[in-house]
Amino acid sequence: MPTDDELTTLLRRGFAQATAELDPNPDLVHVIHRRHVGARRRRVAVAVAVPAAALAAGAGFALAGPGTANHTAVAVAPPSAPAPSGSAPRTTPHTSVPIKVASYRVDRQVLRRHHSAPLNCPANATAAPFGKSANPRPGAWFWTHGKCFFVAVGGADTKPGDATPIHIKGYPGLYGTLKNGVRTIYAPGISGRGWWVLTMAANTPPKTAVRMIVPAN
Amino acid sequence: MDVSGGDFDQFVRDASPELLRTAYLLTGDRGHAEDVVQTALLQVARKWRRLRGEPTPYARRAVVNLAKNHWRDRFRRPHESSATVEAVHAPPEADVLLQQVLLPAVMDLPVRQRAVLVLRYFEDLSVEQTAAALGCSTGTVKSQTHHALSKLREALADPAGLKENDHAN
Repeated sequence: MPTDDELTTLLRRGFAQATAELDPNPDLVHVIHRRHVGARRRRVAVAVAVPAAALAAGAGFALAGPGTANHTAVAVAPPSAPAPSGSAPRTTPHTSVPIKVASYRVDRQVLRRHHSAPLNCPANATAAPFGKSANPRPGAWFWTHGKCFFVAVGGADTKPGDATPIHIKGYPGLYGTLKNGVRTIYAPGISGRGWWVLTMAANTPPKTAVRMIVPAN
Repeated sequence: MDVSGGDFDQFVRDASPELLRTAYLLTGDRGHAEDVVQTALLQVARKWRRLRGEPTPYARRAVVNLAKNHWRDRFRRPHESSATVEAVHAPPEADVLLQQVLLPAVMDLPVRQRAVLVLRYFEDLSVEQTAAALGCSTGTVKSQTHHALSKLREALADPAGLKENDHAN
C-alpha cells in the first residue's frame, strides 16, 4: 500500500502528465473581450429599457405635502419624476456599467425608517425650518453630530438659476442653494426629468441629507 | 469596470493556462474546461476593478464552482458518458499505472474530493487556500483529502476492482 506521500507524488506526476499538452486558445484574450463587450451591451440595454418601460407605464410617486418646503420649487414630484425603488425590477445593482448622466431616486427605506423624530430629539427640536411637532411629510429625521435634523423631500421641474454645484463624493450632479437659513439640494431625477428637492436647515450636514437619495444608475 | 487596459489582458495570458488545466482535471473534458475558463474570466472581467491586486483566487474559485455545476448538470443528462481524463493529452511515455488506474480513479471520486486533490496536489495550494477556493472549512478539506486518498489507495491496490462510484456530492 502506498503511503500518503507516495500517493501524492504519483498524483502530482499524473496531473502534470495529463495536462502537459494543454494550452489555452491563443486568441483567448480577444474571445473574452468580445464576449465581455457583448454582455455589457446587453446589460446596458436592460438597465435603460426596464426603467424607461416602468416610467412609460406610469409608475409615479407623489411626494407632495403641505408645508413640505418653503422654497420656490413645486413641492410635488413632477409627472415625469422617477419611480421610487421597488416599483421597477432591480436592474442596476447587477451591472457595474456606469451610465454617465447622474440620476437619483428617493430611498424609501430611509424615508420610512426616519419618518419619526428620534427619541433623543428634544420635544422642541428646532431643526429649522421645521420643528419636531410640525413633523411635515414627506421627509426624514436624522440624529447626527449630536443634533436633530429634518430633511424634507419634494420635486421640481427645474432648479433655480442661482443654484450652484455641490460636491459630495459618490453623488455627482447635485446643485444647491442657501437662503434665509434654509439649505436646498437639487438632485436630478431619472433620465434628466425633473429634480428631487431636499430642503433642510442651513446647519444640516449635506452628507446627512443625501442619505435620502440613492443613485439610480 | 475597465478591462480595456493591459492589466486584464496580461492576467488572462498569465492565469489561463493554469485555470484551463485545473478546469480540465475537474471536468475531464477539454471542451467543457474551455467553456468553464471563459465563463470564469468573464466573471473576473465584470469585477475587475474591485479585484485589483488579487484576481487569481476569485478566478480559481469561479472555475471550481463552474466545474462543480458542470459536473452536477452532466448527471441530469443520462446519455452523456462519464468523464475521463483523455489519454490523448498525455505524452506517449506516460506511466501506464497513472493513465490506466490512478487518473480514472480520480475522475470517479465525488466532485468535492476531486477538487480538493486537484487544488492541493496540482495547484499546490495550502489547506487554507483550498478551503477558501471551495468555500468550506479547513477541517472539511483535510477530511475530504483523507477520504480521497483512501479511495485512490484502494484503487491502486486492486485495479481490477475499480467500480462505478456514486458522484453524489
